[in-house]
Amino acid sequence: MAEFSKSILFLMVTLPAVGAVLALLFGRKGIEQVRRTALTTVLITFVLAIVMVAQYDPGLVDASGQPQLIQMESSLPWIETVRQNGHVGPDIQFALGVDGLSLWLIALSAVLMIPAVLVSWEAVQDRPASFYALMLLLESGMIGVFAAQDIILFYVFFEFTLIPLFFMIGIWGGHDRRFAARRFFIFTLAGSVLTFLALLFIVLSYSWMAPGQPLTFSIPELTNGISSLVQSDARAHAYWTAVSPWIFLALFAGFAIKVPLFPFHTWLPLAHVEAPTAGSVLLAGVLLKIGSYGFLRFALPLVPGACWEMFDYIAILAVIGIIYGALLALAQDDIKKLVAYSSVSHMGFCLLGLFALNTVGITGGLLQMINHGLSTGAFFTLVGMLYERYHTRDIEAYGGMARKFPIMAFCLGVVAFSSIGLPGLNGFTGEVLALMGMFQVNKVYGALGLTGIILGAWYVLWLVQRTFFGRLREPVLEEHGDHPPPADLNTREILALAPILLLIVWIGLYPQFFTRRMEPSINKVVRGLLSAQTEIAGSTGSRATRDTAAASGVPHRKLQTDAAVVLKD
Amino acid sequence: MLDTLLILLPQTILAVLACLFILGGTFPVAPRRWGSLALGALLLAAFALESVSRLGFSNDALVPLAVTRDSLALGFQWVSLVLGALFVLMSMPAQAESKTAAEFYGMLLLILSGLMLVSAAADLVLLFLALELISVPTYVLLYLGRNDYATQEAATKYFLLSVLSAAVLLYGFAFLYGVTGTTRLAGIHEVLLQSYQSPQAETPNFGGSVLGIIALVLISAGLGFKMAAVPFHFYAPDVYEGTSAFNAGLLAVIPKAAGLFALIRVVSQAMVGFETTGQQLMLILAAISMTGGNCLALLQTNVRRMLAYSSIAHAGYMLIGIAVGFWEDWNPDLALAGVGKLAGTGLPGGVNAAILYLLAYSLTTVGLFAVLVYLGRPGKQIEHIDDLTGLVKTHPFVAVAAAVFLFSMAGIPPLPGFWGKLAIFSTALSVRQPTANSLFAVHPAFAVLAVVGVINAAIGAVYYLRLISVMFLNDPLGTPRPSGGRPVLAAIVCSMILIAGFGVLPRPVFDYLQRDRQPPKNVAAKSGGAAAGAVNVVTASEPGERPRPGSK
Repeated sequence: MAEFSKSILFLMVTLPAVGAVLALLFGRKGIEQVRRTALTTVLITFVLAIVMVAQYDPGLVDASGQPQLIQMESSLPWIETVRQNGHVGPDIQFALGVDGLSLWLIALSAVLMIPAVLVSWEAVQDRPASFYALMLLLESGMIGVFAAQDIILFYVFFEFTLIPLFFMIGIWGGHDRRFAARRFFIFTLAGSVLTFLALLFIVLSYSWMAPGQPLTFSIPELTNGISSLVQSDARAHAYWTAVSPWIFLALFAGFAIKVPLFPFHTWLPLAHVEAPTAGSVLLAGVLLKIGSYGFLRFALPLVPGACWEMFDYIAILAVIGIIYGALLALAQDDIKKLVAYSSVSHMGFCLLGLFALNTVGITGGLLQMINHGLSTGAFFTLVGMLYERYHTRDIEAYGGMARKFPIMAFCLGVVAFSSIGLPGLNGFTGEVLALMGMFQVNKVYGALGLTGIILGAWYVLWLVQRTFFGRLREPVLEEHGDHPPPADLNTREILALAPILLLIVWIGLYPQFFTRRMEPSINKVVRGLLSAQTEIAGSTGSRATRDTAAASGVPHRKLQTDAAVVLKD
Repeated sequence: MLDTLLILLPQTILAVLACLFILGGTFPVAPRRWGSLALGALLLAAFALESVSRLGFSNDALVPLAVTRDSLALGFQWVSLVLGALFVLMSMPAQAESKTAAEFYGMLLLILSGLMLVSAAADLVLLFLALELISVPTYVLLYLGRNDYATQEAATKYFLLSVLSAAVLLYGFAFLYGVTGTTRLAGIHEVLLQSYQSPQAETPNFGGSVLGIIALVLISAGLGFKMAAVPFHFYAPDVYEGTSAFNAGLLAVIPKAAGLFALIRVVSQAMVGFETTGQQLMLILAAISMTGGNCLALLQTNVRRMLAYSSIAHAGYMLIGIAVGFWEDWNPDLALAGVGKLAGTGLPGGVNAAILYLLAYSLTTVGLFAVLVYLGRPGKQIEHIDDLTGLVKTHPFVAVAAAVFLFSMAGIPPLPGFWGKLAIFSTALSVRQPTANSLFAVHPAFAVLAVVGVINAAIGAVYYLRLISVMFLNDPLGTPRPSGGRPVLAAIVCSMILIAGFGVLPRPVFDYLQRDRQPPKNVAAKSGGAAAGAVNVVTASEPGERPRPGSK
């Protein structure tokens, strides 16, 4: 079993790629074969994801009694240059592993592939083999990004996800697909090349600060090594303090565009609207999380000092994103655009939670990432189903659909309530924790973020009211002859939505199941943040404490215990 | 003497066979035979190279002989042969009916012989001859390509500017000779090193002297023309546009490789003590080449013209490596002080990063031009970007190959272009300098250069993506083009395999370059005279173990 659990992540990364090749090979045998191959691959990966979650033990300790947060590790040497002439070679590994930060995101990727495949079942008739092959490659890339324990491997997957999605949007997308695909690609690439520089620079800096070590690209080694060096070595500390802001800014360039944070969001609505349904589901559900995950994985643990310094800027951008995204969503008359702008708003919550820089906030931010993936994924799936029936996404064209499609209306209702944060569903837990974390450090940002929830309820409920309630109003269908009249969700479509709805209720009713597995990893990040904060407070006249403890009137240590209490409740 | 002849055996074989080809052109041989014969000639040269490399290789580029046999040269010669074979495959369908097939392949073999000679040359005169051995047959090839005004204009333009650049280069060599009194690279290194370490009245610091700087600038200008670096790039877009796709591919790869290699030999390995001027010069050349090439490529609608500007931009990336090379640990003074030299990261240093980038660039470019040759017809080449519209529907495999090549050029992982950029940017970021209150700091100029470089990578992606989106996202216009013959397809497949292999398993390439890395030289031993730096021949490892760049 131990052997199997080592290879489980490797299987999860490679299996979809193998499935992609199979789908291409079956392409000549007809669409049915291709779809089945894709579905089988996705389901096997899903089962592996369940096994992975079951195997993950947040309380595991290693031989020396230290908590072992990264589990199911496996690594293959990739570029492990020979050591000679006294030079120590770089050590780039194909290293995979999972910890509390990535566990649920990997699971989310595996879950959302199910609706993505099922919703394309009928919708994609043109070159299905290529479509499913690209989608499966995308799954490999998505799982790889979250599972990568090597900086170069992370970046390879990070960039690689662009290629399949570029073709998915560009070939199977809507009217303006070419422009949307190119814009999506270029925007993301433009930011991520700077992130690449930052990642390289982190690696090189570590080798300077700790001379004699092999040039490591391992993310855990770098994280642990740098934080302990910075605390123990005065010169390393001075150096790291000097370069931290630059590293943060360069990381920010890539991740903020990916999230997307307020002024960098302009690529997103276009890409979402033009993408085929499966593309929208995966883009909104998983790919946006790569940005916030990048902050959580690299920015917070590696440059905590810079995070404290940049706290205000990020929080302000996140708040603007929340409110501005919500207002734009209110003004849309295209359902997909509305959901796209709501993503800008919701991802603002994630960042607001993460940059509260305390346990409650980060837990909320991470949970909100999962929640948004589920609810927006389901939203896009439903919009896709509606579009498949009537070939329009114009809100004005619909009305009173609940009478005609009761099952769809039920699903949409659950998703809508999850999205606006109704207690008992998943959205509530994430948003409340994220905002609670923010309230502890800064009441103003917290309060402003809260207005986003109200606006969110407004645009979502208004959308549901306009389209599914009131007088029945169907869009005029162009007569194509043999099409059957639009009917309610069939079994395939219900099965596509079922896993998401189940998780929505599960997270809502029993969030502890999810947060418990995140907690040790998040606590580790927070410990690093706290020690950085103490240093800043000590050295520069308590600038950071002004932002945090002073705002709430209690010492920060106290806040952490509060946070623990909140989680226990 | 015997050593020299032995080392040059592969080059000699190629040159002699080339002459036989040209003579054989007068005999009635079916034109289609010449292509296969050229492949056979390359195979023969490969055997010769294999036996030469069994003799062992030197770890030191700076030998007192006129030719060197360091591992860099050997690797480069293998790559030259592979590239040559790809070029022969690319040209076979077009030459199958040509009356000038024998002359064509004769010239091609001469060019390859020259390319291999560049890597082996350890003497200024031989180096110059090798470069001319590339240039002169290139003029002929440019004329042989097509018979219209555009071709003639392109050929004339290339001829005149190339001759001018050769004169500039020779002038630079002359100054270098004047400063140091020798044409051997090892001797030049020796004299410059001594003058640098202990400037006396009779041997002032040549690196800082006016004559030395003039030599550096003239040499950089002459070789910059070969590499098509801004501001010596003006010929490239016109010539690429005016000539055939095959010739454009040849121009995009071979002179650039030769120019870069000559630059490494002369400027990076022999000219010591120029780090201030040389680094500034290369920094500026790199920055303006990248930015100028990429920005102008954005405006192009002719495919070959766009690729010309793209090749200019890639020359800029390679020059980053050369600029970093001035800081590498052969630079003894800085090495002694323990500063300035690269951290012992084990990543390829500046020069090696440039070579890695060159390898990635060459393989990708050959593949891409093979695609253009495959889709073109003698009278009707691929001109406008729209000629590629909807390629994925008419030629699915070729379109996928072209997309892989273009993504590699854009530096998207996991393709060779990405590893090239990884090497280049990490090497630029690893240049550091000491500061008062901290351990060290990144050298600001190189940090800025790295940022300029990555931003350029994003700009480059815009026009590569434009080509990809034309091929994949649009429906084909009109009737599908006829396909261009099996040998060209074979060239595309071979480049695909090389690219995919290099992309997924880059380790052999990194290892090979790593092996070439030398430890910081012992300065005291070095100043003992040329004999102390004599050929340090070590036995080569087992043949099977020797990684050949790109051959995996």
